[in-house]
Amino acid sequence: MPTIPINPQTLSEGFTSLGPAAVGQAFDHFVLSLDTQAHLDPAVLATLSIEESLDNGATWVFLSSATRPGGVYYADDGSLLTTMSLESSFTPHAPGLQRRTRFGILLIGGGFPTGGGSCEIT
Amino acid sequence: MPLAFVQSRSVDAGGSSSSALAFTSTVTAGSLLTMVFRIGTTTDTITGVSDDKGNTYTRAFYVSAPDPGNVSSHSVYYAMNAVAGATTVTVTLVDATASVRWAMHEYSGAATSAALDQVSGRENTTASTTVDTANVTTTLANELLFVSGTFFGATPSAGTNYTARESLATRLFTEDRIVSSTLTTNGAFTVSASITSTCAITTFKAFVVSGPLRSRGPSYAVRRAASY
Repeated sequence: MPTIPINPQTLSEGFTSLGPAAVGQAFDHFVLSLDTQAHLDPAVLATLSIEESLDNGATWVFLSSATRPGGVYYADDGSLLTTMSLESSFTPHAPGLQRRTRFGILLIGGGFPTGGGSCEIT
Repeated sequence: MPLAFVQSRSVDAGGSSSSALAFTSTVTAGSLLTMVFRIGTTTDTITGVSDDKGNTYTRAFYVSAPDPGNVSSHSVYYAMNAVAGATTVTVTLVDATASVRWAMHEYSGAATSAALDQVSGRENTTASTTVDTANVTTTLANELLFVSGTFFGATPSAGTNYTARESLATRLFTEDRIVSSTLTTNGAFTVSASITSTCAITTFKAFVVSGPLRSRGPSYAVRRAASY
């Protein structure tokens, strides 16, 4: 299960690109998560996005994204959410292709410090 | 082209004010696209469903589930006669504090207009290992039966005669069945624990070639007999 770490840092307004990293054929699922405990300003819009390449990074296709303003969020069970997350699947592919993934954090309206996060690939 | 499942995908976008998801493969012209949303609140927070190809999405079903075991809302949207090409669908919500989990599906061979036939759905407030709807009766022989359900904390399995399509975070499930004769049936599947739930069945008509029938002329047997 490869894990791509996101280091603790202060994220600035704009786009932060992370990766790329190789994703073997045996893996088809990802969970991208980012510590957002300090993302409290509703004027700051954060977007997590993920892309994949099936040709070793020559061309990239968008897979999925999630966007939300700063604030306090709760899970379905009422517990405080300390992260923002995005969970979905990669494209199934034939053997021999060189699949890679990269993901991004887009901030509009400001930045915030984060304790980091990860992209877990299973 | 007969009715057929083409592809599906799902995403757990957490608490979001918008979420986008791309179809795995290029969408074929004329396809039916169905979307199922489980929002972790009883409020109808979806403000729009759209894609980058300009397809028009219509809501076929909505139910709010206030039961403490499955606080959520469940919506089904669809778009007919899809434009061909790589397609990314986006849902926007008025409230980002509720979690958003959703699934997308493509079917070929569906009617390109007036495709929706029957809809039935409900909140199942009595805990059970069966998640189901009331019966519907299809009006045409060839139809797609599309079933979706929301729940919390159980593993789903497809109902009899249905094929599972998407199962997400023990909270959302979709399945389908393609039939070739009219029937009265419900949408149903099972879950690994006795829980409350919501369930919807939406049926869609197959594409029917319209226009005058061509005369085939005398049958081969008649023509052969006439030649002697």
